[in-house]
Amino acid sequence: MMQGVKKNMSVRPLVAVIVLVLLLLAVPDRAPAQQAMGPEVTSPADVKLREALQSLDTDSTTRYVEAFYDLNDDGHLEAIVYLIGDYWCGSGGCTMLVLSENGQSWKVVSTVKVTRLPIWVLDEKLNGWHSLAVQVSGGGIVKSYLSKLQFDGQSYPNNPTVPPAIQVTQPSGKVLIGSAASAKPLH
Amino acid sequence: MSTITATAAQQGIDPNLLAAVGVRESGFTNITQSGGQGAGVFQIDLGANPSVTAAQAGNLQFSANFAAAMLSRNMSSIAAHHPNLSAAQQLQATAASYNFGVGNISGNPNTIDQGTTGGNYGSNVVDLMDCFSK
Repeated sequence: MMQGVKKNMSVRPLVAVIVLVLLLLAVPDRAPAQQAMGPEVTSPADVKLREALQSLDTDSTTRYVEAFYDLNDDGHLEAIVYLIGDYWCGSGGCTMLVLSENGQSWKVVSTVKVTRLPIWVLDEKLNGWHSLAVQVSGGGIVKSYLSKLQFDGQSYPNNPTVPPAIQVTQPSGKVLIGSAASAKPLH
Repeated sequence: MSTITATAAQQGIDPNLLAAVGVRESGFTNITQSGGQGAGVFQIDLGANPSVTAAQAGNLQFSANFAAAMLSRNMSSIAAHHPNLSAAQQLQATAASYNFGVGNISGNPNTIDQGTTGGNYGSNVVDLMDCFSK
């Protein structure tokens, strides 16, 4: 019995050393992966998207938040972009763009003004595209609400405060962009 | 009104424009919407303007100066970029730009308010200005 205990005690330091060595060996492999997730590293798609956005904007202070989602279930991601700054925002909120990949670049499918966060993608679809929903307030709307934007076959409505946009109280879907905390400079 | 008159004069804009924006935004009341999505008489978006605090937005002097400065900047920008618009159209566009950003002014006089809250922001503010001037 005592011999068994002594044997176990003599083995434990060896196991600890092996575990430590394995952990140390693992660290160099993980470090680059964590860096690749950092905000300073962007994918080629991000770079192309930023170039497309820069062509629309002349304000050096503009920031943006992006999300990617396959809005029309064609296997290709669309970009949903929330532009922030004096050029794109006012008392009614900021401007949201929906863009789709166009060869090596991105083209604007919809420009939706006076939108606020959060931006939702809804489960429901119309004309093959998922509906979106944005918060609206300000500009005379003193009680904010969520407004649903349905695709009409060409684009989404450009104004969430007037028909055909409609108020929605129980959205079924998920939040694509929840806050501007991760906004990046455009230029 | 003395705050509005003095602030508008400092920024070189019509005090009726500043007052009309305050009425359109909040009925000239100090409203703070959830999440900072519109704060104070002039409904400053705290998300888009992270340097502004809720307390500042709720202060009439501060918020009036913020709004007047934006209107002044936008008025100059619109005059420079859209000289095709008449003086009245530039005024309507300036009001509209306070609501949706000066970058959303296309220069087409027929679509100035397209995309503004309610689709009528600029023309409504101009109409409200007439009420103050009478």
